[in-house]
Amino acid sequence: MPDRIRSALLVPVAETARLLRQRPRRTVEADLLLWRIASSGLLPLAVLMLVLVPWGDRALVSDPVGVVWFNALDVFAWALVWLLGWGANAVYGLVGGYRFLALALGYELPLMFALIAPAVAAESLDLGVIAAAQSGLWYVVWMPVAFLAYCLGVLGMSVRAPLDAAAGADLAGGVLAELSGVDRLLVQAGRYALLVAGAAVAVPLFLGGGAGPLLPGWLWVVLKAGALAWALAAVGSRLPTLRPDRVLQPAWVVLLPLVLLQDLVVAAVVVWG
Amino acid sequence: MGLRGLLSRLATRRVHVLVAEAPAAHEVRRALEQEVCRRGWVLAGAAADADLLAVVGSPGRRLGEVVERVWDQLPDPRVRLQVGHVDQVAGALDAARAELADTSRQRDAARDRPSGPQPGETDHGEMDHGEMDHGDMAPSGIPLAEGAQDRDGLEMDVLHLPLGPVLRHWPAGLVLHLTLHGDLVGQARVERLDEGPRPPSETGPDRMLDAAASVLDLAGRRQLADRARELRDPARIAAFRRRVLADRVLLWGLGGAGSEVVLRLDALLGAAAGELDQTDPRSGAVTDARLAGLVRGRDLGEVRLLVATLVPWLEGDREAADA
Amino acid sequence: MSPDLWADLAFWACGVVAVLAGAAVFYVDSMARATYALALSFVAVGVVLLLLGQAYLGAVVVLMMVMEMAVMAVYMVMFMGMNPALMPMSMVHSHRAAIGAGVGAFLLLGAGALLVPWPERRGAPDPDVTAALGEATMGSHMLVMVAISPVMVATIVAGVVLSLHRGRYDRGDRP
Repeated sequence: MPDRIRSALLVPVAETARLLRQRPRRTVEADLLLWRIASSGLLPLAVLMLVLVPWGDRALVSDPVGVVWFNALDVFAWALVWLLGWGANAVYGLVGGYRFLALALGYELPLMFALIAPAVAAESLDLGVIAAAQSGLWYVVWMPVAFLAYCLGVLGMSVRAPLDAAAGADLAGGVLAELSGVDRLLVQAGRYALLVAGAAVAVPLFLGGGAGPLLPGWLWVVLKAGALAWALAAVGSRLPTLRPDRVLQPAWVVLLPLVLLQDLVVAAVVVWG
Repeated sequence: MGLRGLLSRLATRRVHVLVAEAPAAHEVRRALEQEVCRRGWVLAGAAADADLLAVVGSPGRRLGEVVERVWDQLPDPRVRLQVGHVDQVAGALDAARAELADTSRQRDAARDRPSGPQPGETDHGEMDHGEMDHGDMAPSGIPLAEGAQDRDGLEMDVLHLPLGPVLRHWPAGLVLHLTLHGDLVGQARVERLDEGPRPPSETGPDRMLDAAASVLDLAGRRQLADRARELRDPARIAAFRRRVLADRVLLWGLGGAGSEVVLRLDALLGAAAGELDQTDPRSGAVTDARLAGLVRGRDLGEVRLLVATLVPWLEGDREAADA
Repeated sequence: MSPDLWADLAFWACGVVAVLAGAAVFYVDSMARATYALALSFVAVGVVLLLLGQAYLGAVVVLMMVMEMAVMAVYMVMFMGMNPALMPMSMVHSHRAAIGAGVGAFLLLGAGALLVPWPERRGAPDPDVTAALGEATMGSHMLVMVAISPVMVATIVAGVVLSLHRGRYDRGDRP
């Protein structure tokens, strides 16, 4: 194996070993209860999202209102990321928390209306039914705006570029600034897990679920989710960090009406199509 | 080698380094940063994320006190080093890594350390109202936050944040005392630690590119920043300048095409490429008083970007350079 | 144990959590803890609704309340003069009257729930309980409500835009 690839593969292993070896440091008068809830909460949140995803024919938990549950879960990121900044009792974290909520106001409304589009088209809130309804044409093809808003929302809830101002370099790490040791490991793992979970939920919503030639359905779900997560991270790393004061206006004035228009088109196709 | 040895070897594969830079040591700082990146290590943004505190140059009394407080904030295992010369960098980093990997020694050091933070060792990150005493309303000496009117006349909580002096992409020895309403700057006051005669401003291409790279780093464009640091040839710098100015999303994220930050970033790259007139009004030079006025009412992130564009002039003495 | 018993246990556990977390709002001594104790209480209520077979309503209660409390926490912290630190601060005003009113209301509602002769179930629940509930509460006004909600959102957004002459962030009108 070439040295470069080997050391790139070792990065997550080395970081994990480093953080496991590190003794977590506390800050003066930190709100330890809320801080711990926040730092350990992101990973279970991602797991709860993954539980909703239909792997091929059936999900672990088949839920008639899976889309709404996904939405409810992604709103928990609001609480957890803000508490992460609050718990440390330090300015960078607190400002990071404020930034996250401001950005969340920007990405969440387009995301909510983006979730409506596939649900209207499939006439169901069940992720399994929505996936099955795409046997003819994947929803991403005729709902590109909704898909875009959804992807932006996934980047936002996993605090990833370009919506990573809450953990920005200009805030010395923001909500991550005071985290060390295993707490930091849990948060970083949680952020990756949220990105993957968001990508996995996109598969039944927009990417045809487990449909695909030759391979079994569950493997197609895994492949599609992995590819989308990788693509989101790759696109994000080529974009600058966008502060809330840059994002909010275009998110509400441009993206939100566009997504509403997308919903209108989908509704018209369903009624008259 | 046992499991423990393997763990400590893996754990010190990517050392996270926090740099504390004394005035007039930017060349050593740059050499250190280059060496850290060459080894695949990481430059940390905050004390909690660091294994190694690298003190660059020779800090005066006040900066020395701050460095001690930052050192107290590093989680165990931790190492510190001091370098004063470019030639010492690689050796000092090797020694620091070996010390970091020495588990038994680290454990002994950690045992002697009081567990949990000591009240009063608050540093830049934390709210610092030190002197006041409100009895029961002030656990660990931190009183209730005060309110003040923000820019729009709303009564809001006030946070006190000293920016600097141990901060990435920040002029050495400079502290900007801010009051914040959320993420908006209210009042600002500039302080210089260990004020002495400053060296004349250096405005060579290296210095300009380093400042431009800092701006790109702060804006979240790591790869672009690394490319800026590697540039040498004026023609390629000029091409890079055109490329940055054509990146609409980047400019928009920095505050828009006509914003102060973008104008000054363009001036930095222009000066590095030798394309800029020396008398260009954008080419830097702000006094400390002007800086305080410049940052009031701005977003905290915008303040960081703006100061990063001014590092060459804020570290050096412009008038001495002109004379 | 049968699934029904598990559901009963979860129902009662969530009920207890909802009440205790609600009480914690007045017991804890920081704005953030009070706000998120309230959020926890609402989440427990959402799960109770889920266990009652109203999956959609339960999810929406959780969604709305977590979002609302996250925003409310910021208002509480920014406008109420609080440090992030844990402050020994009372969350209660008019202590006695508040306790009296709270206990009285709880007893009244609890007695109502226990003493009212609940009707026997006739027939089976609708296969789509969410739609059935919407029909039952809205009836012929459904279309009106559907039309009013976007108007309300637009009014709120427009109101905010008009009331702020500059906005929270500068828009290039710096001197």
